[in-house]
Amino acid sequence: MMTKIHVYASSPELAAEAITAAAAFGAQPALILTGNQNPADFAELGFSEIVHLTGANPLPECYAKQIATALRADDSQLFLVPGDLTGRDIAARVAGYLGCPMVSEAFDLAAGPDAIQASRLTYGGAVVQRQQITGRAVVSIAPGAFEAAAPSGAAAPVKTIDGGSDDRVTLVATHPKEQGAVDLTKADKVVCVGMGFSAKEELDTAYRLAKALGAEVGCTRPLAETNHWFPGYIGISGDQIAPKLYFSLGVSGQVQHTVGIRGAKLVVACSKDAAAPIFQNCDYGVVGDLFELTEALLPQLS
Amino acid sequence: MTDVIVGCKWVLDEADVRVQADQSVDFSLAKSKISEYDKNAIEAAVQLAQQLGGKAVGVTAGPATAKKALTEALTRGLDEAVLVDTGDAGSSAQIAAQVLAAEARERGAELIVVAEGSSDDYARQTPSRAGAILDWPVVTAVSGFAAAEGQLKVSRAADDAVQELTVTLPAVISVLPEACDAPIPSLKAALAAKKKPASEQSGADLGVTPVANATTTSVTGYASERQCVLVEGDSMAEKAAKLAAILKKEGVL
Repeated sequence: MMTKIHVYASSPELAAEAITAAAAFGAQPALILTGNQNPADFAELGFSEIVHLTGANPLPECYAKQIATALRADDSQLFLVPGDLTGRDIAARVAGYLGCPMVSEAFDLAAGPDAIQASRLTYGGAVVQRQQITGRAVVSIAPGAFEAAAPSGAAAPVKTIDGGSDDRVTLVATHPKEQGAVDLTKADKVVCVGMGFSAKEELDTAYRLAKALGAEVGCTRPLAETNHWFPGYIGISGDQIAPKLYFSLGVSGQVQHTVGIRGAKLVVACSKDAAAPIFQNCDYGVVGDLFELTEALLPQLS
Repeated sequence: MTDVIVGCKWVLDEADVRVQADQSVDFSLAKSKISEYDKNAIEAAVQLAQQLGGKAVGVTAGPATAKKALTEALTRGLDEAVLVDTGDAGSSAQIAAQVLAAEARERGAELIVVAEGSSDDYARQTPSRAGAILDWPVVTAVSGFAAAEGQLKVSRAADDAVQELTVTLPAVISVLPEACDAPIPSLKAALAAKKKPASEQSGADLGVTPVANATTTSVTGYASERQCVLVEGDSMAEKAAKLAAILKKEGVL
């Protein structure tokens, strides 16, 4: 029996990842959009149809109840959502309204007989948990875990439904993350700094390496939360990134951090500590002083 | 008087989990503790209860052994703590959300505060689910908060911006660790905790329904698929030269 699948995504890029995830079920999913999302931006991604819940509220999360109603009306068996912040929130609310199980941030999906099988990480990223759900389910997929499908070319029909308006949450203002703050999740290459740096002035070394590589600079949690050297950090409770290149300097590589770089294509690490866990989680590692390595590497890169 | 309910999860310490060479997972050495991020949520609930003129009540869902969570939770400024015994049903998000919603209804609470995720599961479902069960508004990823008349003003760390929102009460919020520090309990607070009410209720009596159609089929250690090649050399200059060649070959320069 073909699983009837609906997808919510906050952007066309994420929607394309959901198309790939849905392929595990041999199904062409339908797409649900809310508020001021534009169906034209999603038209040719390969969805069977686009259901647009219109409304004045700019917050997608406020349409969750209406989404659940639409899924029930359509006898949807699986609600698949790429797990950015908005997606995760909507997925969990819909699971709550439908009273059904939900797998969070699945990186692997398979169709079993009358069941959905999914894998996700727990215990800070050290453990893989495989779950099986029979009947209706909600799954959020880890961003970057599934390749974005190529556009199908065929424009999906659009159905418009009045999404109603939940005005109990009001958006008063939006501020960009911070002056000049970089969105690491969109960076092609990232140099990551860790506790191997003991003074803020020392970060200059990392910035010079980043400039030579054409990379942005990120950090591990203590440099943001304790030292306040950065507004955000890479890790399980921070940014999860999937760049072409992740190059760490002075990062020990605790699981809570390395789960944030699981999607990186190439991981290079330098640490003075030969026993640092990062060396079990990198493609290429250099044991040694990060300042010495950077000075020796810079002339090689120009 | 507005009661503020805060979720306190009794979890295995993720630092003690051992992955063996055959990828099996050994939990036997793991001690139990209140989830790291719940400490920040408890402090947020205590502050909000003060601002709203109500009580801060810690709620733990889990088996009878989870009662130890209440002792620690009470040292952190809560007025009261409750264990809802869910027996074998455990403390997954789908269960925890039911428990928090049921407690909120029973106590006429107007605010549920939860950490953004738990340090063992980090599923990030509980707050949104609880809000849906109650049909209350929810704000996740809260990085700053203040109570006003019948509502909260919150900052939310959205994907590419910080949102300033108002949310009417009753509501559910989940807080990031950066929303407020979790101070180390003073000796005075630890002593005062012993006099505060810690009670137990049965999950079944509260109407908590176990989850029948979702099962965990396996639990294994995460095997890194990285190459783990160490770049060797007699000098740093040699290592650097080799690394540069590797970066060129891998097409990342």
